[in-house]
This record gives sequence, structure tokens and C-alpha cells, in this order.
Amino acid sequence: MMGNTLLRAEGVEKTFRSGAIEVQALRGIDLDLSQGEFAALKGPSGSGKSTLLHLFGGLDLPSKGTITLGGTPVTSMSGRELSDFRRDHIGFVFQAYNLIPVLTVTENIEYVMMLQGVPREERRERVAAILAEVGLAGLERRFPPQLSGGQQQRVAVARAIVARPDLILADEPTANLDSLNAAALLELMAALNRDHKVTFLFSTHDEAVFAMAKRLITLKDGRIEADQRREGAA
Amino acid sequence: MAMLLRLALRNLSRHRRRTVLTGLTIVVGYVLMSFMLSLDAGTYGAIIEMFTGDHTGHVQVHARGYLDRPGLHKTVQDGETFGNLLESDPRVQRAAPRIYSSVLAFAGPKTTGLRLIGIDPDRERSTTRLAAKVSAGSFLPAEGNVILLGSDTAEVLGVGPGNEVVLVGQAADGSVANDLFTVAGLLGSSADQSERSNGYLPLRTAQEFLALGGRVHEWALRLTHYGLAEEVAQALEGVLDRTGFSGLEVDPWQVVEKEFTKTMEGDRKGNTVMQFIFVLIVALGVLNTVLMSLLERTREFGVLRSLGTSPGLLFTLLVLETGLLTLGALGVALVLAGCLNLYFQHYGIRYPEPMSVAGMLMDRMEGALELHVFLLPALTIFLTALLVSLYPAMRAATIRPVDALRTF
Repeated sequence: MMGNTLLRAEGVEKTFRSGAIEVQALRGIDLDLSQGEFAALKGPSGSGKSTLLHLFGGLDLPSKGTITLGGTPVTSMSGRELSDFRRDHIGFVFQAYNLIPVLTVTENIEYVMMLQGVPREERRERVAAILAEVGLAGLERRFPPQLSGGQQQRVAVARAIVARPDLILADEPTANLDSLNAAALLELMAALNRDHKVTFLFSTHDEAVFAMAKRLITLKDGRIEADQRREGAA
Repeated sequence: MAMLLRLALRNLSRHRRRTVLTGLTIVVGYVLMSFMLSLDAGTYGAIIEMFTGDHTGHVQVHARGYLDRPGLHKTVQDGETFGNLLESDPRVQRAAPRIYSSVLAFAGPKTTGLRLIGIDPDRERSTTRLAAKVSAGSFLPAEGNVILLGSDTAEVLGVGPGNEVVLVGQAADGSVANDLFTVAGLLGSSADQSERSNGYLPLRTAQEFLALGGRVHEWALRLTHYGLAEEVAQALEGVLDRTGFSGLEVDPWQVVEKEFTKTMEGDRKGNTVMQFIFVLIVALGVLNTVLMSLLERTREFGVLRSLGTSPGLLFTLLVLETGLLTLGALGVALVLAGCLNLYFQHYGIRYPEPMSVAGMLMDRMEGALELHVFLLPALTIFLTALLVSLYPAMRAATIRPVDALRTF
């Protein structure tokens, strides 16, 4: 068991409405995530994995229940407060990389730090360090379309981690990568978790991720079906 | 802000063809608007100068009510002191006094009605173009029993320079005014309608003839620019009131020549409609670009929002992109419009047939390089572009990141 609860979800429900049609994506989720965890959400499509990640990241609000991060209730924040919350506490890694195509590798990585008001010198130092760590040194001036998928996802991880968030939410991060690149990326994230105690929560179908995750949370029909902690993973 | 600027500039260069096309719409809209304004200012400026320089002047001073209902006894102070007072405003170049009356002119068996105008030849020479319109004989001396006649009146009377005419009218003291005058010169051609039935006497001679003592009916003022008429008229009215000359009215040429002004303003309104159409075309062009950008980049906006970009910053980014595109296009447009307007200021557009305006023949339209010709379309287009970008920017700013991220 890890100490220090970072994220707590209590009775979280999410219902989507489209006209007369109602879809209940989450049906009462209770979950604690501790500082430094390397956890994965598994489950079939439509089980509510992505929805739960969106709620944890402050991209959407639950229909019912509360979510707190570091003791701060996310569910009662305004739009502007949620923006600041995401900027300061959450890092996202998306399936489709989602880099800003008109910004260079360096600029993509330092974007969130600029929003945070980190001084230029410090930004440059942190960018150089993280690029070396993710193995992209020398590609600073490249634009995203000039990079391979694996390289783009590494930039996305660097962008997520460099702003020193409390939690990194990774939605199917390996889905668009070949097995070699996927393994390298997972190794990179596991190293970041191990060396920097960065907390990761994945949503994935990838067996390789399950194999490395220290905690496996299985969702089915919007409910937690199983919550397994595994020693020795990652 | 530097990052925002970088993002905006790179987003503009991302779709070069679209940016160039939108920029071209702005350039064409601006150049056409500026060109129209330049021709408008140049041509109407020339017409106004011709019209006011011919006789009216830019500002006139009368006894109150004279303009609506002229009368022999509705007079104003004459004399150098009053003239100097009017000229004390640095915007007034020259002031010329005048007397008006109606008389009968006789030459042998021929007779005709005449509008008699007494003028100070020296002051009039530097206030209007009257002296330049002398087509035969000479302009008036300071005094003496001499008269300048419009060519068509001279033709009716069958006289020319050196011949004599008798004038008969009513003097201010109720007596019959009559005297013999030698024709000093003729004005314009017989086809020239502006001097038809006019006869000019030196001011002192006219004052004696009409028993008006040191009084006149009108002071006509020439200013450094016709556009100053309204403000100078207002300022002078205050000056005259403060210096004890009450009961006078000071009117700009727009009031003195109401019909002319009304016709001109009506004509100008037609141009405003055209300008509105140009602005509309530019607005639609810009709106199309911003809306396209909004649709194409929805997912990107979702990413920016998920990274913590505030709605305000995203809004600023989109408005900044429109502002930069518009400013860039306006920079190019300014150079093009400057060259075009400069060319037409020098060479103008020749009419197939000369046009008679206020008795003067105009043979071309010409441009003018005035500040408003460049500033007005620039401001109109810039503000319109920003205005049409507000709605799409607001949409982008308020988009829910989770919805935006689901788009492709």
C-alpha cells in the first residue's frame, strides 16, 4: 500500500444525454489514488475508462459524486479554475499525441511552463534536461510533423511531465505506436515514475501496460469490477 | 505574450493560400475604399474651392436675418478695423466687404436689370477669383465711376470696355440713385452663367451711389482651408460678440450655399453605400477565414484548453490572428493605395467632355492625399475584422475541452 492519498473519487457518476437518449457511463466510482502510483484502468470499450480520466483531469464534471486532488475539490470548480487546475496539477498524454503542430519540440514542451509563469532560463534548463531524459536531444527545433509517432509521443510525455504535475493521465498512450516504440515509451514512463515519483494513471487495452502497472483497476459497465495491487511490477 | 504572438503568426502561415486570399480581400477592399475617398475628397474639394473661390468665400458675415431675407438696410460695419478684426484669426487669409442692390442699367435705347455689387477691389482680388475672370478691359480701380459687367449683360446692352452705362436704382435714404459709369472691363464669356446680370462697382463708389455711408451688406472670408469653415464661423461669432459687434451672424459656406451643399451631400451618400458594400465584402472574407479556422482547429483548441490555456487567452489568440492578418494586409494596401492616390492626384481622370461646375469648367476628377482618405478605411476595416472575429473567438474560448478533443 502507498501512503499519501493524491486523488479521491467518491460516488462518481456520469450520465450523457443526447435528446431523449441517456447513457450512464459511470455508476458510482469510489477510488483512491496515492502519490507515486503507476496504475492502469482496464476494461472493454464503453466501460467508462476515458470518461473517468476526463473527470479526474478536470476536462469534464461528474453528474454526481465528488473528486478531490490533494484535498482540493475539483467538482466544484468554475471553468477558469479548472483551467488553472489542469495547468498546475495535471499532465495529459493522449492517444493521438496532440502536439501543437505550429510549435517546435522545445516550444511544445515549454508551453505549459509559460502558462505557469516559469522564467525563461529555468524553462530552457528543464526542457534540455527532459529532452535528454526522453532521448530526444538534438530534435529541439523540429516541428511535430517532422517526427515519427514514437518521437511525438515522447514529446507528449515530456510536455506532460516537465510542468511537474501531481498526476499524469495517459489515455491509450501506446495505441498508435508499434510494439518497439510502445515498449520504449512504457519503459520511459516507468523510469519517470521510479526516479521522480511521478503518479501515472493509464487507460488502456495494451497488455504491455497491464504487465508493467503496479495497480490494475478493471472497469465494467461503469463500475469498478476489480482493483488489484501488484508487487514487483514496472 | 511572445508565445501567443508566435502561435498566431505561425497559424496564419499554416494555411498560406487562405491567408493570402483573405489578405487580398482586405487589400482590394481598402484600396477601393481609399481610392473612392481620395477621388471624393479631391473632386469635391476642387468643386468646393471653385464654388467658394468664385464668389461665396468660405465664411460670410451679415446682419442677422440678411441671409434669409436680404434688405438694403440690413448692414454691417465697414472699414479696415473691422476687416482686421475678422482677419485676426490666423485661419482667415483675407476678408472682403460687399454691397448688394438691384438697379436698372441703360445704354442708349437698351436696358436691363442688374444685380449691383460693390466690392473693395484690393481685398476682393485676394479673396475670390473675380479679378481672374476679366475677359476684356481691366479690373476695377479703388474708386471712380467705373463698372465691371458680365459679358452677357454687356452683350444685351451692346457695350464694351470704354463705353458708358447709366444706372438707376433706389438709395438707402429713399432718394433715387442714378449716375453714369464707364465700363472698365467684362467678366467671363457670354456663355458663363455665373456672372450673368452682375455689375461690379468699387466699394466707395457703390456706397456713395446707394447712400450707404460706411456700411456694407456682407463680409466674405477666405480661409486657409474650406474644411475649417464651420469651426472658424463659430469662433468668429464669439469674437464679434465679445468685441461689441452683436446682431451679426457668421455662417460657413455650407449654410450660405444650402442648395449646393445639399446636392453635394446627397451625391456623397451614394458613395457611402458603395463603401459599405466594400466593408461588407471584407467582413465576409474575414469571417469566412476565422470560421474555417475554428472548425478545422477545434481539436487543437481542446488540447490547448486541456493544457491549461484559459478561455481568455484562447479568445485573445484568435482575435490576435485576425488582427495580425488585417494589419499585414493593411500595410500592403496602404502602400498600394498611396501610389494609386498619388497618381490620380497628379494626373486625375479626364472627363470625355468638360463639365460646368459653379460657372467653372472642370475637365477631370482628381485624387487628394488627405489623412482621412487613408485612416478612415484602415480603421473601418480593422475594427470590422476584429468585430467579426469576436463571435468565433468566443465560441473557441468557451468550447468544452472534452467535446473539442472528440472532434477530428
